[in-house]
Amino acid sequence: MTNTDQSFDHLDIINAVLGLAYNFESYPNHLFKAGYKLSRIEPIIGVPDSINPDILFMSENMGLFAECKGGKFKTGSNLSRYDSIQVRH
Amino acid sequence: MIKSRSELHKQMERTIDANLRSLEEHGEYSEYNVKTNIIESNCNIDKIPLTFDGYHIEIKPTDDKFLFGLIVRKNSQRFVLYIDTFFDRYWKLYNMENSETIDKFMDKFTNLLLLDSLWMPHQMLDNIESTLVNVGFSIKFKQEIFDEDELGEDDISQLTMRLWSRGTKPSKNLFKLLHENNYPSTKTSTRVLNIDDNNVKFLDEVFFDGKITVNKGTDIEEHIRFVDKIIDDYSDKMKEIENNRMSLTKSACGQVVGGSPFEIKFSKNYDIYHLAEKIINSTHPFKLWGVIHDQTDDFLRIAGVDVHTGDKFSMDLMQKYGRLYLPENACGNMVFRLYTNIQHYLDPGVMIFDEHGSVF
Repeated sequence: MTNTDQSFDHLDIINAVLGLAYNFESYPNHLFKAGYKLSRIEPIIGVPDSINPDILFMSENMGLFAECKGGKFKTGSNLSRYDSIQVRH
Repeated sequence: MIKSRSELHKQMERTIDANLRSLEEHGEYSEYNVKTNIIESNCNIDKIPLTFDGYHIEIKPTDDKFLFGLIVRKNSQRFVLYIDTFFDRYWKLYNMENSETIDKFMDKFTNLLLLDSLWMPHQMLDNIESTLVNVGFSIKFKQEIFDEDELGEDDISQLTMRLWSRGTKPSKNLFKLLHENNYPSTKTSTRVLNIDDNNVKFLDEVFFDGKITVNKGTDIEEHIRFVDKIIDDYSDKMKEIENNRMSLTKSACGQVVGGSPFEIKFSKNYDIYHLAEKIINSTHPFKLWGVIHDQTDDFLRIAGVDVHTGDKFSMDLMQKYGRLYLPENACGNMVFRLYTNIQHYLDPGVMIFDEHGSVF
């Protein structure tokens, strides 16, 4: 058995957030409890000024985007771009 | 040498008849019991190595394209098995040889790359019992992960027992007693009777590793049907597990994740470093190799390889939980092997779940 250096990267963050929507005791499964299911990874949503969410969760009547950032990213400017998403029924 | 399936069935039938008569007249068997070993195969028969661990195998075809004779030699020993490859992934090996000789051979044979034994957790043995008359069981629990001086005062390091009874009550009562008092209640084998109008069709002992011994019988076809039913049930469970392997597929709207991890829930907290050291050291019985690539005080992440097939897997270990991530093409038998061996060698009370609930 060999130990390698600890690595914690973007993929780990995505995995951790994905875990929130799985029905397992060993995960903090708050999104699952709130009725969300994983819909897409890197969803393609065709919005101008390209927003690139990492994950789309869906519940019966709600969608929840997740952008996973590590380090010193500033997320504020990105948030407003999501307002341009229009949902059609 | 047997040339056809009907000849094989006749010889097995003769053996069980002879043993039945001998039991009635002398109270003991006159010949070695008929035994069937179910194994899991991920290759064709022509890919089996013909020499390993001192054994030399000769494969003899028969008139039946799925049935082969296996002449095995080791030093001065020579014995014969018949291998039925009709079910592509689950082969049946019939024999009427000394049990100890065959057990030693099967141990090495199923350790070859792309071959594996079955690993039936005790829940599967319980299911087998549920449709027949259960007249005994055996338990062979041995704590292999922790040494005796690492165990608590209430922990059990070893429990071996065997109960054979005429009726079903003693077996059920003793098992209930063990279970209620937190003794290791992982069955190594179960003894089942198929009886119809006082006519014993068979009395078989089914072991967790896929070995089935005919202790008594009047109709070999009934035994074969019983074996096939075990294969069907195992195969159905395998499909469920393999449908749950994790995958990522591209769609027009992004990428879709399929499957989910398997969650192992221990009945108590364990030292995860010690646990990992034993589980991923590539040796029997887990047959898994891995490296720890992330760790905190109470969390380990393992990147591993299933030594049985060479498939990759990932595993998280926590004091109370484990999570197993099987990629798209990995062999599902790893779930059976890992879970069953944890039951037999660490924690009889362990449970395993997928997203929909308990797997077994």
